[in-house]
Amino acid sequence: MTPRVSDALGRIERELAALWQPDPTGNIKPHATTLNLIALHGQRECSFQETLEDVAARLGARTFVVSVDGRLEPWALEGDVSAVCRLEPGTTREAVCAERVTLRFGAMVGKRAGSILESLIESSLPTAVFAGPGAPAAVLDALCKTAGAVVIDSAELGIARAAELAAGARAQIHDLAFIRTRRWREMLARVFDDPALRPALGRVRSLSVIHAERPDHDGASAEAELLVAWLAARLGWRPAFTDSRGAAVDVRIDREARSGVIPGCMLEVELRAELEAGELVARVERDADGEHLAWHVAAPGAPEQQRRYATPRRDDAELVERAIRSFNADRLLRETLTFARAWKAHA
Amino acid sequence: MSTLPPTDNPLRAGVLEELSVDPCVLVIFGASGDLTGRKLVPGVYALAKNRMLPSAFALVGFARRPISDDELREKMRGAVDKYARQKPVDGLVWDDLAHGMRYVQGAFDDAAAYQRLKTTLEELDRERGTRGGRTFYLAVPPDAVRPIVENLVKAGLCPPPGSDGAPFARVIVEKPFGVDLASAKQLNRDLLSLLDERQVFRIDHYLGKETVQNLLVLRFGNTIFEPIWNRNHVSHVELTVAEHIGMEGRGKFYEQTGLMRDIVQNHALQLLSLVAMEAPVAWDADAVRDEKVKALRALRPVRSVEEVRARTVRGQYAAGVVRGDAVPAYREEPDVAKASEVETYVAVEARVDNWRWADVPFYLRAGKRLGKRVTEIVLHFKPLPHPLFDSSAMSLRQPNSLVLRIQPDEGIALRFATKIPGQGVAMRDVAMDFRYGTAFGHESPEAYERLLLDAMRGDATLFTRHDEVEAQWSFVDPILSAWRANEAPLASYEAGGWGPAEADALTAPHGWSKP
Repeated sequence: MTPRVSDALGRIERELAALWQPDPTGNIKPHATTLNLIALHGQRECSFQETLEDVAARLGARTFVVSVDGRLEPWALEGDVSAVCRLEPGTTREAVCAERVTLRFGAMVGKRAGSILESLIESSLPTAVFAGPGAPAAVLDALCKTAGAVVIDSAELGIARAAELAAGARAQIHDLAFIRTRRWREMLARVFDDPALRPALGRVRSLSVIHAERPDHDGASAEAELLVAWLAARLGWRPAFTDSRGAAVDVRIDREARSGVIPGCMLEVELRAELEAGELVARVERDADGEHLAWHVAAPGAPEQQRRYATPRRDDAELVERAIRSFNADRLLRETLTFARAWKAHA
Repeated sequence: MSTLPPTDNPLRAGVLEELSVDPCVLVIFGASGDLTGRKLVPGVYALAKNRMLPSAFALVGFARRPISDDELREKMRGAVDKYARQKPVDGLVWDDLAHGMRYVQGAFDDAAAYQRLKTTLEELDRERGTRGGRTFYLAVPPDAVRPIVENLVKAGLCPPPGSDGAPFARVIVEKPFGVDLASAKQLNRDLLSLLDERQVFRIDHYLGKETVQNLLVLRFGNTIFEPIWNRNHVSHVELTVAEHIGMEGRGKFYEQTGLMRDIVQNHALQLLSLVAMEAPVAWDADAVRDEKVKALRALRPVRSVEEVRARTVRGQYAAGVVRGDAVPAYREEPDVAKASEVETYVAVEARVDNWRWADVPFYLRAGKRLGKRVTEIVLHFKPLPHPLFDSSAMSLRQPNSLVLRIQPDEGIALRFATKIPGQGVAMRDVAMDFRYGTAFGHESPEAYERLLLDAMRGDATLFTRHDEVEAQWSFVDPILSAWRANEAPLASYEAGGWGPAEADALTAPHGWSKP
């Protein structure tokens, strides 16, 4: 490590240590930390900052806000340390505080991010990384090897990059785009809770997915692709979309202009499959209000079923919090991304 | 390509609950009763709200009162508004649930009513796609259990278990499972002459509590506790089931039951068996229950009058102050005899006579109108072999204990001694404290939710098997007999305290810890 980096690091460490020292009147700020949260971003986007504030407050985290700034000297490290305090409701009293460390790396220092952050994190606590828009790739790669959990968004990164990260990561990987498909996956799973319909899982003939257009994006949305890849991986399909018996499955992903919904979000899934006595049709559609899913199943020998389920909008902060608090979603995502990568390679 | 363990429904892996419930109808006998409104229907609503129920689900209420389907819906909506864990009630969820709700009126021994029930269930199969799956919840007095099950069987509504995927019929039975060993055996004979044990789910709602389940994870999902979980390290075990409430309109019930039958025979002995049991060979219903039964069978009987006097204390509360309010004595409660000898407090020194627990007393205490509502298990570890540090405090001669809080504030605390910062070597005891609510940031499901879901899934791990019930009664019966014969005195205690002074003598020289 060059002297300049370690000098800067030493100053940040001293500031961190001083943060919880008594003030001249002997008061110490009440503080609690349950997690190291490393937030990576490429630009000062207001929406990311808001999300980060919210996530850090929800999790009670020692937060590191990390960016690579091309305007700095290559070996420069700049940092600010502060205490972020929540106030007791209805008062101006500080209820509980946590550390916030803002780090700006020169281009070369970014490659040593793992070593720098290792010195600053509270080592007895778990470490989670939240990769925001434009997160520096080298830093993210490094942290995937050392952190406990990494939250990415393949809607931002692209599925290929997400799959690459997941393949090489020792950390648990959580993908916000995949988490956004959770209610849709659950709705499809719900169809096959009925054991009488389960044989149809081995005889899916078509899968149609429609998602909302994204003005800044031409291709299929990450959510739509992840949903297809999840189902395919779960059912043991091959990347050319043939099922385990070699029969072709007709898979379609379409876009639709829809106002009042989040761009790229899922709008409809329809699955058709064979049963001995006829065809099973399962359809899940987002209602016009955007906040409910209509669930419809028609199968031979059973009454048609229609239900509506609420699908409350969750902001990114809530999704990130859920991702970090969840402990076992990783394997399913890796399996899904593995299929998605093979599918893309085949296509 | 799949790397995940197989589940019944491969799409369920990693999505909400991995185990799903097959299509079914839940039939509640005693639909007009208190339990149905307070716990069962709010529990069903919570399951629906959290999307744990299958889409093909329906609920049928069965009771004597002549009411319509709509009146049942209205009554249950009122109960859910009042008792639901998650409020406000979600109209969409409720409407779907209410749409599949029916009422069948009839007496429990009226064969014609079961034909009406059968017709209703078949209609629901057609309308809701419930495919013949049935879970019958018997929220009824013990004497109604046999006639209901007989009539269900006669009506063809309880076929024996078939192959996987075939329609199922399960029966959930509420406690009390008998009033003594003989009646419990008779009830088991009655049930098992009509049903397969795999169809019978005897519910003890304590087993649905998160911390009770976590007790098994703590013991058998960690490596550090099990090596010290035995007579070599544990000095004694305390088990407290304390309530601050009194009769709350249950005076008549209590006069017939008493606290031993109401709490000790079931809840307290369930907790004891979970603390004392050996590791099961697998996490399945029979493996877990086999070990619990072994622990219960190892309980040293309290047979002679001398033993009853030496190892048990029964008490009854006198007037006192609870949570700041003056409260009457038990004998002044409505529907209670002025000279009642019924116990509202029990303390027992239990011994588990096996290799693991020889010479380790298990002190059980349970009572009404105690200082506060708390259920906890405390494992006290052995004292220091040699007092290296100067301390006169008893807690520092025996500094280590593990507290498992079942309710409220579910959690676990480990107490140990630590040095007070400074120049000398002064010590004090501190606790490492884990609380469910804080650690996981969300509410645990109600015990009934978990147990209803497990019964509908056919998982009996958290339900009591017939031989468990009988082993519990085998321990309790001789004590009750001695008390009935007035061979042991009934002690009095002030409401709002921690029980009679006689109970303190039982635990000497250790004493009870203050929860």
